[in-house]
Formats: sequence, C-alpha cells, structure tokens
Amino acid sequence: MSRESATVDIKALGIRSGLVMLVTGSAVVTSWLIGLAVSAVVGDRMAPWILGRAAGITSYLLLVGLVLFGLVLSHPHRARWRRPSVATRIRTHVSLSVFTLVFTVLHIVVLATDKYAGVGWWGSFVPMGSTYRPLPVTLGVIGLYSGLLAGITAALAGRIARRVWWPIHKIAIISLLLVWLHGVLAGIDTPAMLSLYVVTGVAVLVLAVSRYTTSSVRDEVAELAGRRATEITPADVFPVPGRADVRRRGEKSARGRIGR
Amino acid sequence: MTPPEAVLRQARAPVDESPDPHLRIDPSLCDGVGICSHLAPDLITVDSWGYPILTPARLTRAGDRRQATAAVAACPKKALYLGH
Amino acid sequence: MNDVLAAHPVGRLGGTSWMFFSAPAVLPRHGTESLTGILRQDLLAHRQAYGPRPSCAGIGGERLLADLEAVALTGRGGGHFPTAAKWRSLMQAGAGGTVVANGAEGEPGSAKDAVLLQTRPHLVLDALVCAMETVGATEGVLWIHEGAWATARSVTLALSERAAAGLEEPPVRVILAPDRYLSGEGTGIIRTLEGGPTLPRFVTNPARPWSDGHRPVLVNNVETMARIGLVALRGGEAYQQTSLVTVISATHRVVAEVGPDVSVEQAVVAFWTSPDGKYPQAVLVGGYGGSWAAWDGVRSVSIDVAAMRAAGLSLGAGLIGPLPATACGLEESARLVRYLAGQSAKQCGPCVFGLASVSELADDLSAGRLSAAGRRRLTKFMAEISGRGACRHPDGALRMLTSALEVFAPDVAHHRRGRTCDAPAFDVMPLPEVAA
Repeated sequence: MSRESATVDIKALGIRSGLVMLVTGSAVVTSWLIGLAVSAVVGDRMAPWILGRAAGITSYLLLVGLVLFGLVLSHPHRARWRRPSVATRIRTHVSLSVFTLVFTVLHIVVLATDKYAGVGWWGSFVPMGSTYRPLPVTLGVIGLYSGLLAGITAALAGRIARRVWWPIHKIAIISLLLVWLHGVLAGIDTPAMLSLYVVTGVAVLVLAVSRYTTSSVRDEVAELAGRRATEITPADVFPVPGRADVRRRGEKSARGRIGR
Repeated sequence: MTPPEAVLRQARAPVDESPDPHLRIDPSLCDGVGICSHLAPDLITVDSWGYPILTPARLTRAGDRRQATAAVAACPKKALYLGH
Repeated sequence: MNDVLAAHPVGRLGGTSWMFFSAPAVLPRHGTESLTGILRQDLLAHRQAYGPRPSCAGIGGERLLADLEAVALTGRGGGHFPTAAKWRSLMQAGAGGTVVANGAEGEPGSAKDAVLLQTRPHLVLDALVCAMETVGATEGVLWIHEGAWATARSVTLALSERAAAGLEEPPVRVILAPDRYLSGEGTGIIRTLEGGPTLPRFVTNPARPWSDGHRPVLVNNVETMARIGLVALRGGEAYQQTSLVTVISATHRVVAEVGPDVSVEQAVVAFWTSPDGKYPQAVLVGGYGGSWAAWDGVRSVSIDVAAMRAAGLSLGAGLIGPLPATACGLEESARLVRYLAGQSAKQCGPCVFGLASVSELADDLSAGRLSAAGRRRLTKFMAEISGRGACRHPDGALRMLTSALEVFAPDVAHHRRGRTCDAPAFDVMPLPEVAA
C-alpha cells in the first residue's frame, strides 16, 4: 500500500504544482497584456515599473489577508467566532496563499526584467545583489524565502513535511514583518501608501499579540493538572499531640506526588 | 511470492481482523489545527468549533486510505491515528 | 428535618433483608461531613457481624470469582460492566498490579460511597484485600476526595484498627483526589498512579487502560467493593440484589438500601420531603449525567438495574432527584449543564467548547430568550458533540439535557414564547460551591 500511495502522492503533487504554474503563467500573460496597454498610455519606460509596483502592493495586501486568516485559524478564541465558518477560514487561507504567490512572482518577474529598475534577476534572488536600494530589496528577498518555506512545507504536510510543517509555519509572521519593512522602505511614494502600511501593520500586530497573549484552553488544562492528588496517612488525620510534624486538618501530606 | 508462501501467510493472519483500518483520534490531544480536514476532505469534516469529525466507516478504498495517511502524517499534535 | 422519615417509618422497605444498613442514613444537602441514622462499624463490630475474612489467595480467589459470576455482580459507577470479567482481564496482565477502591463519586448529589466508607469501612477494606489477593496485586489504594474529611478520618482510622489488630495485609494507601466532578474517572486515577495529573485520558483499549511499562490497575467503585466484601464474607448464596440510592430533598439527603421490588414511588414517599405536600413532577435518575423521567412514567418502575434499563433509564450512581411541581425542569437542567460544562477537564474541544456553547443556549432557553435559530443551533451542537470526548463526560450532560427537552416539552414550548415558568422553587439539586 505504501508504494502505491507514494506513486499517487507524487502524481497528485505534480497536478497541484502544475495548476499553480498554470495560474501563475496566465497571470503573467494577462499582466503583460495589461502592461502593453499601460505602456501605450504612459510610455515604454514607466510601464513595467508601475506594473511591478501594482503587483507588489497587491501581493502585500494578499499576504496580510493570508496572515490574518492564519492568525484567526489558530487564535485561542477561534471557537467562539461563528463566521466565517471554520471550513471557509481554511479554504480562504489556502486560496490566499496561491494568489499571494502568483502576484509575488509577477512582482519579481516584472521588476527583474525591467532594465531601467536596477534590480535584475541577481538582485531579485540574492541578498544585497540589487543596485537599486539594496537593503529594502534584500528584506523583500529574505521575506520571499521565508514565505516560500512556510508555504511549501505546509503544502507538503502529510507527504514529506510530516509534522515539522507546523513549527516552521510560524515563521510566516517573520516573512510578513520583512515584507512590511520592504514595502515601507521601498514602496512609499505617496502619503496614502504610508497610511496603508500603518493600518495593515497595526491590524496584523493587534491580532498577533492577541493570539499569542490570550490564554488558551491548554493553559486551563495545565492549571487543572497542577492540582495534584496527595497521599495521607493516619498521622495526617489523627495527629499525635506534641509531635513536630503534626499537620493541621486540611493540610496536605508533604509526600505530594503519587506516581512512580 | 510463490503460492505456498501466500497460503501460509493467509493462514497465519488473525481471522477476525479486518485489513481495513479506521481513522481514529485522541480528542484530548487535538487542538483543532484543521490541516486534517483539508487533506482528507472525504473523511473529515470540522464541527462548529473547528474540531474534526471523523468518518465512522472503515477505510476500504485506496483513495480513502491515502487521504487518511496524509491527515495522520500532517497532524502536528499527533492526535490522529489509524486503528481498528 | 426528619418529618417525612418519622411520618413514614420505612422498616424493611420492599421486604428484602438488608445487606448493609438497618436504617437509612440522613446527610445534609451539601457535603458528607455529618451523617446520622447509621453507626460506624469498627473492626470488632464488623467481625462480630460478618466473621473473619477468608483468604482469597489461590483457591479462595477462584471461589470468590465464581461467586461474583454467580451473583452477576456488575460495576456501580454507571457502566455496569461484569466485575469478574474485569478482574480476569487484570489477572491476564500478570501479578504485581494495583487495586483501587474508588470512593471519589463525582456526583455531587450522591452520597452512597461516603456513607459506606464512613459506616462500613472494613467491608470495603476486606474486599480490597480480597481483590488484591485474588488478582495478585501488591498494592491497594483507597481513592477519595480531598474535601471528604469525615470519610478520610473513617478510612484511616479503619486502617489503624487493622494494623493494631495485627492483620497481615498488603499495604493500602489513602489518596486524596482534587475536589472535582471528574476526579472519580477511572482513567484519571490510573494516570495519577502513573505519575500524571488527575485528569481523564483517552484509552485505545478499554480492557488495558494502563500505559505500557506501568503496573496494571483495577479500579472498582466503593459500592462494588462493599458488595464484593459481602460475597467474600458470606458467600454468593446469601447475596441479594439491592441498590443503594441517594434521595435528594430541599434540606437534606437520604441514603438508603432498597430491594429490587421497591418502586420509585415507594422510595420517594419514604425518603423525600415534598416542599408542597405533593408528588414530584419528574425525577432525575442516575446522576447529573443521568436522565429525567416524568413522574407518571417512572413512579411504578422498580429500583433495579434491569427494570431501569427496560424503562430506558440507568440507575448509574443511584441518584434519585425528585423535581417538585413548584420548580422548573428547564431552569434546573440548564443549571446542571452549566455546572457540568464548568467541570470539564478542558482537554477535548467538543467538551470544552461544545458543552459551553450548549450550556449558553440552555441558559437562553431557561430564560425564555432562545430564538428559533438558537433552537436549531442547540440541536445541531448536541448532535455534533455526541460521543466525541476522551471520556463520557459530555455524553452524560447531553443525555440529561436531551431527556429534559423531552420530559419538559410543554415547558419548552412555553419558554420559547419568551416566557419563563416563574417557578418559586429553584436550585433543587445540590451543587458544590465552585467558582463559575
């Protein structure tokens, strides 16, 4: 059975990666067409730049939504919120990850191929490899790698990632932090953009703080587990007068732990 | 495998044990992460609070066993298992 | 306080000879610290009544097992599993195990185990020692609540009496469990003995509830132990199928032993103080995780495991909780569900979140503010939770609420129209004072 399932696993994996590539490819083609239209209006030189910026902002907003849904999915109070339903939350989280990837690819492809941008393929994937604003671009590059790590291990959960995907998944919040800095340092040309980054950043921060500081049910279990059973002896219940180790009624035996 | 071996193996197998397992859960370990319902949508639904409801049926189909194996392997809390 | 008891001198209710008690015991509504009606049998009185304890090692143990099978003794925690079968599965696991007499009855209303341990401690201890000898266990445990000081005094005094009499017996430890509803859950007891917390756990094989590499553990309820003691001391022929019930009144509780031919009505007339001089409208049977039964349906049912089962009820922990006509069954049920939800061990999602949600909706129903959508959610939630906890705690609460929705159906219709019962009587069933 194991060989059979492994074969089909790889097949299913191929289909899924194929789908993602298909969506990405069609997005690139569509964007290229839009880019042609834009260049007709603003001229060849500015078109890729505007398109790249637009894809970056879209990708950032999708990533914010992705992380917000992830935080809702794991929030200690999640069981108290009725809408959206849990099934919808999971589906939306997964869909957002695909669309975030698509627009990130677009963002990179457009800016890497833009000969006026000064980023290039090297700068798009190698830290400090960009001539244009090397530090902000590097933050984006590292954010990309950490995001890919969180996404790919989750997509492979149950296959090769086994149970390690869950601890790794939590680096997604670092990815968002890096991407946020990348956006703030390299992506602000109007005051409206600044307020966008502030509002979305605060939203994620508030939810993340609440998710990690709210006491969960597991804390309540730990509290219940902390109340241990105790052993008593006749001396605990019928103290011998004058003895030093006499304990008062209700006091617990010093022996405490029961198990071996 | 030569026929006598196959016969011998069959004879050794416990009589009452069905080969098809059930998908089972230790509910005290589950934290309602939700990855299982995503990986095994035909076998697992989630309740109103995000905790999995498992199919009570035996996993007779290969596709079901595949989904179940993936869900078991992906569960970060090790709450899911295949049992009888 | 004893008006009803004086008005109905019970005598030999049902015509059976008593196995344990010659009279009912009366306890306060809360706690088990004071008890009247039955005197404690010390070791001397116990030996005068029952004679010396026979050895249960080897052939003696075989005879005891055969007797337990002959009288078809089953567990009294509510599961009604055959005791002898449980013992045999432990014997298969090998010697060197632990036998536990579980006296931490979680049911706040029930007091039968406390009465047995406070008045017949040596019957339980004889049984515990016999069980250890039969199954080859090397350690005995008396498991009681930490707040049960009268019980703790009685059992530790009994152990001192046995030591002073020079009885050569394997050691029996007295362990106090936290005062919680679920402290009497068998898997939680075993988990504690293995060094873990006193919380229920999930077991893949109920016949082997202990962990690999740990001692096998046998857990029997104190009432079951006392009955084993009777069989061991008097033989199977003298055993009679009686039940220990706790009847709840507004001011006190009565623990009584009744024969299988005693009806619920007879027990209620004999042991219950009606606040309005009338029969109750319904009875809560078994425990707070038991079932409500309408008075007309349950009054003639015999207090007997088989008769109860035939009526769709379970005697469970022996609780008989009559609901006066002046009280609201929905209000009472919502209160009990709230208590049970609060007593969750918080380990399983369906219990901690599901039961809490059900409790909120039951409160809404009781307060007359449950919308049609809320009613649908209640039905959906109850179906979703059923059977999905590591232990049976949520199932018990749901069973009680389900029976309440059936038995008090006219009240449900009334409450749905935005009204309440405005019942003068409330807080009928005693609950320990717990933080909400």
